[in-house]
Amino acid sequence: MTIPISLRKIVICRGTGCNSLNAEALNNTVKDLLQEYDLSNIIKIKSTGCHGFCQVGPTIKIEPENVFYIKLKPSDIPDIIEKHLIKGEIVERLLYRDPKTNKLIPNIDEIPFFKEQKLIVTQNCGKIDPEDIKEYIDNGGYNSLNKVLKEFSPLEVIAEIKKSGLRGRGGSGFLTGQKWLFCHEAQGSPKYLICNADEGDPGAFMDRSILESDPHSVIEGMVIAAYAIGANLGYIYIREEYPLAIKRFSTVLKQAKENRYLGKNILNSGFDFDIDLIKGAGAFVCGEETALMESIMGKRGMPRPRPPYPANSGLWNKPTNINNVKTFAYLPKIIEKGAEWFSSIGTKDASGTIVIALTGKINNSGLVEVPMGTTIRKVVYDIGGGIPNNKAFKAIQTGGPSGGCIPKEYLDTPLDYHHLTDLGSIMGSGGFIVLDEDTCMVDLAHYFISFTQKESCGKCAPCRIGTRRMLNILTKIKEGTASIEDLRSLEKIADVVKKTSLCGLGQTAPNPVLTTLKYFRNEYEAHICNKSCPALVCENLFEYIISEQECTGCDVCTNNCSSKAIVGESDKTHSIVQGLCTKCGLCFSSCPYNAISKESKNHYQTVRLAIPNGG
Amino acid sequence: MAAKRKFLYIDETLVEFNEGQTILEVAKESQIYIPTLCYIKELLPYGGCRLCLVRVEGTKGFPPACSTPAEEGMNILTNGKELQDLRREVMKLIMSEHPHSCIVCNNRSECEDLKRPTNKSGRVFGCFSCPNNNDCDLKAVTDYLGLKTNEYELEYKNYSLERDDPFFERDYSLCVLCGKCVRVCNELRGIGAINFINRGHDTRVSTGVNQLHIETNCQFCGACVDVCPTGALSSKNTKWSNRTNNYVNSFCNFCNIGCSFSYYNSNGILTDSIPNEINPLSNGQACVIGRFCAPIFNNNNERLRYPMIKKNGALTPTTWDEAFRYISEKLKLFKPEEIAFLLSPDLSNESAYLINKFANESLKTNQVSLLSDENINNLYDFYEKYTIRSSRRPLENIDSSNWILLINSDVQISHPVLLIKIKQAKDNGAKIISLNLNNYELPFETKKLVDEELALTEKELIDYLVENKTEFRNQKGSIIFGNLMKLSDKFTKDLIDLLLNLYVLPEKDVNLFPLWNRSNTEGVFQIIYEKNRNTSLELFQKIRDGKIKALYLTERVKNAELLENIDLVILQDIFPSDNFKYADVVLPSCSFLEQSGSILNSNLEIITSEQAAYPPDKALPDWKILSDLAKIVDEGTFQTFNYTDSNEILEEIVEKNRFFRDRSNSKLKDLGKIEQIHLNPNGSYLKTPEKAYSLNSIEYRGEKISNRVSDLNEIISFRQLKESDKKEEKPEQVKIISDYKVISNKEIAPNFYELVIEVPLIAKKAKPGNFVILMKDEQSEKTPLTISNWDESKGTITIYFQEAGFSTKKFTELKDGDYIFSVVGPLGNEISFEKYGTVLLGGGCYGNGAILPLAKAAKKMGNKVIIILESRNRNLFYLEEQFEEIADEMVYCTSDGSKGIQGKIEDGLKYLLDKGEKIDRSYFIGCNMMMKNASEITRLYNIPTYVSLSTIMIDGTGMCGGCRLTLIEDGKEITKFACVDGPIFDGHKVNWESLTKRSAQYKEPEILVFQNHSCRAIEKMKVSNFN
Repeated sequence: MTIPISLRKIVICRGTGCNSLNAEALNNTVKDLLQEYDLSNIIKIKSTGCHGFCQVGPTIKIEPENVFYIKLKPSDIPDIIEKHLIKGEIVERLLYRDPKTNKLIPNIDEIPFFKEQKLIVTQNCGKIDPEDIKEYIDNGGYNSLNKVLKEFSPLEVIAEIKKSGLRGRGGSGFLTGQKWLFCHEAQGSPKYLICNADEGDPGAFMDRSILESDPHSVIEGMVIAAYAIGANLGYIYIREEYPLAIKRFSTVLKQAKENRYLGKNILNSGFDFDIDLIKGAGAFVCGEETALMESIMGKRGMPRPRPPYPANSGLWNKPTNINNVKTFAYLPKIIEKGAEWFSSIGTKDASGTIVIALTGKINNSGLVEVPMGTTIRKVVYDIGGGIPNNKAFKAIQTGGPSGGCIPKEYLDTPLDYHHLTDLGSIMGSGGFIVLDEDTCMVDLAHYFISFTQKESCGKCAPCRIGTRRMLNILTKIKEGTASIEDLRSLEKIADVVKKTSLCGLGQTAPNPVLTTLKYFRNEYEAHICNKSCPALVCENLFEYIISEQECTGCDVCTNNCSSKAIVGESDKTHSIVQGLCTKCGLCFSSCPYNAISKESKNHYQTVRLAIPNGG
Repeated sequence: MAAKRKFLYIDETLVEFNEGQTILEVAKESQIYIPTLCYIKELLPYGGCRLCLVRVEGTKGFPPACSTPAEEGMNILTNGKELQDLRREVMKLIMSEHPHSCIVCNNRSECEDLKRPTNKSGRVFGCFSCPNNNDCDLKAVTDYLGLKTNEYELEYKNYSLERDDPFFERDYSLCVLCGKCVRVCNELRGIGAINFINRGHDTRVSTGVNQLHIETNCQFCGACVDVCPTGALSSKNTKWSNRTNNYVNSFCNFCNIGCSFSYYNSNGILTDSIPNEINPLSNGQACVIGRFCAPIFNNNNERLRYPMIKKNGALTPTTWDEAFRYISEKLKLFKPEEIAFLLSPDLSNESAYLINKFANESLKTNQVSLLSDENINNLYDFYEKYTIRSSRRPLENIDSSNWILLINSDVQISHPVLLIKIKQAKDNGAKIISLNLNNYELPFETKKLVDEELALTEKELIDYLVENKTEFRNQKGSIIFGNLMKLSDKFTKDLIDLLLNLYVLPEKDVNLFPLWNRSNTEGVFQIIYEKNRNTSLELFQKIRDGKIKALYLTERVKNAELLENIDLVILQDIFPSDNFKYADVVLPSCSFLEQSGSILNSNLEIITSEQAAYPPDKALPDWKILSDLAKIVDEGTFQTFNYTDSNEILEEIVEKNRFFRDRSNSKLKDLGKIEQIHLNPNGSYLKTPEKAYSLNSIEYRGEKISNRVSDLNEIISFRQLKESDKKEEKPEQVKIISDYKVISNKEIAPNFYELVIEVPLIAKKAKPGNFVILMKDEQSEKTPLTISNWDESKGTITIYFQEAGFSTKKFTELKDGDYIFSVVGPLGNEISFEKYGTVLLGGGCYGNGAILPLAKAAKKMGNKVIIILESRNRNLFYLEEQFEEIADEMVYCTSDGSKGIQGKIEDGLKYLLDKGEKIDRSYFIGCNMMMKNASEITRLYNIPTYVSLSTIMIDGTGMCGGCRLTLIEDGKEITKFACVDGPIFDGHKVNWESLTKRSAQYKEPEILVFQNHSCRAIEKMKVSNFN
């Protein structure tokens, strides 16, 4: 099968992930070489947003046969052009190899990571050029808006969304149609619409990817929502830390205005709506809706007590509806295919799909979209490809700092709102972090509490002070100086912070502590009673030891040690002066003979860890 | 308002409520206590402290009462174990960051009796050094919750003290972040000088970039200080005077708003003025003058105290009787038409009435006039046409206006409290337009509020008002008219006519509010208006023409030379002035705070101020001076000046004066429409308006407030200096005033300083137990301080001192390389040690530094040394390392349990004795209470005990007797002098009661010293500019 060269397209992923792996150099090389081969007028280059499989970036896809080349360097490009584009041969060494079957998979759609997914909201991601409105329109974009404005009354839109069972994808999972209805019925004018793109969870990048890869779908969704609730002005609040998302969104805002999808008298319907882009300064709490509104109003981002709810008194005390990026992005699809179609996907309580940013100790980290009700096991093993280096799965942290850890006993739990809540975690906006056996759960809880503690806005006492007290206790536990009374205090404070905090940030901040305490209490007890860290992570509780048998005296560790803690003559066994050791771990990771191990200070229980060999 | 009443249950009690109320409001109305730290009635719910959580039957969780709306049929529980437990935990968390030894200390009640008289320490760390001592919300909540201990880690914040600003100090280490100050400044006052900065644990209140408040647009209104539930914000001039229950509710008379205040006093001396809610217009708010300046101005040392008569060309103090007889004799020499009276617009109605009566009836003259800026004519005109003929809506209702015209009005400075109402009007959607004459510039805060600001010529202003009249038709409106007295006669007349005819009279709901900068312009005017129609301009002319020979002034005249032509000048005033040169008699009168009397406020209501403080020495209320004088002048022929109090006079005024009669019935009569005015289209106006009114033109009885309140003066100078942007200022040169050089001076723990001075001769001779007497400069108090360390080779001595008052505060300002005026020593007797066995040394506060040389000496002789250190919390220990090196055993005691044993030194002692420690000798240095309590325990165990007594000392040589104290030996009292007999005495013999009493004797003068000390903002700015 030979494909005419003029039909070929080179699709380069230009998401933030691939960009950070120097996709720009790749792009330039492709351009230059095409020129060199005199193909630049024949073969098109297309830049897209993130396709989700960030683990293997930077990537190039050759259309129309959708051959997927991964982990590319500029030096790989000549091969692709000469062999694939010109001669029609697939460059095998750049293909994806399935780690399970050890087979090469040329076609992107055949790769398990993609095959097992169900794409609704991310279906354009990685396929269209986000900065080209034509591509969006060619793929059916803005049809739904047209349909809504011509055929639906606002209340009919609300009814349709209600029927679809769409829940807000920001975290709490409130029924979107219901929320709109409150705002639609609220007294007061003007009404405002806000898109919350202040994605702040560590490890989460779902909203960013959508804004970078398919921003028009968010605009279309916002106009539909604005029409339904009767708002003429909307805001999108994107954090400053997302420069690419801000850049792309500003570009497409202009395009949408030029094409009369925004502005006065949209598509001659008589409906006016405009969107202002607000850049957030990167406070985690501004993801909380009332704090976000304060921030838009030019005040310090601090949550307000509710009631009154934003639907009645939000931005400038006017009725306001606020939804997450993904919620808006679903809307055009639901209008296009109908509420029944959407509610047929997922489970009875939770329709549609869930977009997950899969990170941590996982082979295929990236952006994943699966139907609601998919099990954790399927996400981790079938799509995520399991844990690297044959480590054991320990737990999965869902919902970011507000969520909790789910241990391996619950791998078969279906992902939906109530199942996760029952386990003490939350769905959150979809950041999933996979943890393996090398993770210390106390350390993990400490990490998340130190994050929430730092990001507390300081308004309410339990969150501001309670998280600080918890952090200090966790630090003591990690240092091996805590008593069992401290553990009791920790639990008590966690309970108080959860019950008495003003906003969602504080109310959920103790979740990482509470769930790790629930499922991994033995680890806390080991730190406190035995003064040992079972995962050998907490610095004060383990030592690096050089094995006399295996040390060759090669001096690699000595040269790497910045604190001069390693002594011993060349070619003779070295040893570590524990008092000087800062536990930086450089010797451990650099020893060519695996002669250095971590040992628990008290139990001398040796854990020999395999050194990962280059991935 | 007949709103529909609804019902709900709180703690099984049925209560009524109105739609829109929150649960907390309903509970407050029903006298049900729900703890809270962040609730302010006037502001939106905040929900920060999480103490007002309640249980609502049928709902999940614990909604906060402050923000949850009450609903029909709700069943609310305000306590119960689960709730109280949650609240206790939240409160414990709050306390874990707030120094709270004052709350958990078991000596809490005893401490109140024995504490040092006025511990004016810089930083607050609990107990009596907290300015919120008597008014602590945290104490109330912890008492309600029954909290005694706190098992959580205590992590106090050691922010540095902010005290370089005028009027108030900030110690954010005490802040519980309730946000009240931030909200009241932003939401209510509309100033926004402060806000939160940082996140998480580091969240704090600040001006943003650590500027001084004086550099921001802070107005020093004190609203933040008044809402602070802790001691974090405090009024620096009054914080140490321990607010008692001794207060009088009254009205401020620095302008005619008449804001209501609670005036606190201690033995008749005004100590603080706290705004209250009696006046609905001010409603608990105030301005810098009323809030902070009142006590300082009133307590000023230079107040007139004695009547004075000119004898041999000099004013000489005399008795009232003699002064009255002198005046009486002199007045007889003049014909009625040669006598004139000028009345201060700050006089009470009663005083003005009596002067008027005295002039009219006793002296038969009607040459009585209101002493005001020149164009008094406008007042006559204004009252003719407006006040009497129209009705005024109360000024507090301007927040419901649809539009407000500010004409030449700078309310932010002249009547700051009114700006709150204007802001509320704006928040309610009113349009605010400011019309200013050319060279008139609005202060920034007012500018923020106005929708339109127009700078116009006089003619343009008139044209604007004529042209835009229709825009304001049929709407509720208010015209606020400032600086009426400063405009030219002709222009004001036209303007008033125009406003009345085009705006006020034809419209039902348009009101004109002229603002007076003085308190009783309207009242005094109304008193004299009926019979005396002289304007002050006319009287001045008559003086210049030589027609007036005797003049009775109740306020100085601005142009003192005017008095040169007058034969008899009687001046009734409260402060000295340039008019003294010409005065024949000076009569000291009272300020409004020292007499009762009424004024007509901005709503033309008669409001009566009560006496809130004692007058200085012989000063008398104005009405009293007049009635006494009149009796002597009348020689008992009339009985009409027999008044026992000002109320009787007011009754007479109401009876005789129609205007007051109408006021007292508080019904206004519409006297019909006035005739159409005729504008002169090319009217030539005489004068240009004066430059904007500013802070330094605020006066009372002709005396500029800023003259007497150094901090206010500091604000004015600072802002002027900033405007002129003087960068060339050089830092002051270090003045070499002596040989005593400061090697170093640093704060080693909150309030505790280590001062190293170069004094070779003292360093050579110093022995344990010696002290020195320091004077920072020529005017300083002499301060005795123990020598804690000395180095003969370097020639230096080291002193540890605690900032505990004005003199020690001055020491904290010493910088390395400065010179100290005087160092005298070594004084006191040496304490020599032998080998006793076990020696116990106990230190508290400043005593920690003082026991160091004793510890060294005891150790040197081979004793076993045990050291107990006591403090309120662990942050306050210092020199720990040095002590730990010397001591065989260290015992720490903290009131809040943050280090060592929770408790006081006696708990540490008990711990040692209980474990069987045999102590042969003990020494204690610290506060009187600590030494007394320790001595009582050692007495039981027969341990020889020595204490170091800190007394008031002046000469240090046994001559003055200031340091006198009594010992009780065999039941007999023996007098000793701390300077020569001490400072160490047998702790079992000291008469502690008399010692405590003696050290309290200078409490009041000490407080006054603080009031006259200005802030250091300018000094600080000079340095930063140079850098």
